[in-house]
Amino acid sequence: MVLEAVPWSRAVKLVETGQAHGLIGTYYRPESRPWIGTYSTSPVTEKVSVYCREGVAQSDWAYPADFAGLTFGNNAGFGTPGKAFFDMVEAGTITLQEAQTTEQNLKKLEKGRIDCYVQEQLAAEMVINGKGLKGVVRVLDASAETAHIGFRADWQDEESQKFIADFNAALQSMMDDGTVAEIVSRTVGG
Amino acid sequence: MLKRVVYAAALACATAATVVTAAPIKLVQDEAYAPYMGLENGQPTGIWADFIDEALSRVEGE
Repeated sequence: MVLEAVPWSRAVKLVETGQAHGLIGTYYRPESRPWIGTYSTSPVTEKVSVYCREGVAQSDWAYPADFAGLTFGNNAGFGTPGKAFFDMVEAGTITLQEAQTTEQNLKKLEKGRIDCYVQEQLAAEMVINGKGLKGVVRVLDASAETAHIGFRADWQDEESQKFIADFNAALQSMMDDGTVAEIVSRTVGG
Repeated sequence: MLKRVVYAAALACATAATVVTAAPIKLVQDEAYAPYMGLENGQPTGIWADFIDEALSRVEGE
């Protein structure tokens, strides 16, 4: 088996055009990616979470409506906070300050230059743990999506069926015996 | 001579068939989506790469 890392748009194109068998880390997207025929067992759920300075927000707030009046950071050009959030930015009820990286945004949050920041949970916590940031709290989860390996729809021979079944069984055993959690913990730290 | 050509052609066909049949399964990931997927020193890294390495070792160990 060959595993390759390329820019995401190229990875999508390689599978769509039949030059690769599976797209790693795809969300379930049957409408926009009809060329994916089978989704693997999902070993991980990606959560988009709201991080704020301690005391700024409450965990029972509705996102994004109850965050009106606050200043948020964001990774420049990314739509992670969601449409409703950007509608509030457009309306002027949320102030937006963009920075290039997750680390830059979280450091601004720690220093009080922004109030909150929306980011995928593991991406944020890897930086918080790795840099030892203080006073930054995860207030709530805004959304969650399972991630999979998406196998090409036209890869339907005997080899593919056996590989996918064996691979799914292996992933499930890794989830059951704690290996998945151990890999995540080892990578993210904390 | 004709036999050699026929053999060579047959061998070429057989080799081609073997190459097609033996083509490795290819999976692709993002090169810049930490901590899930990355690329370091030309090698795929991240949580998914570790998942896949471990899953394959279990599949091969059956």
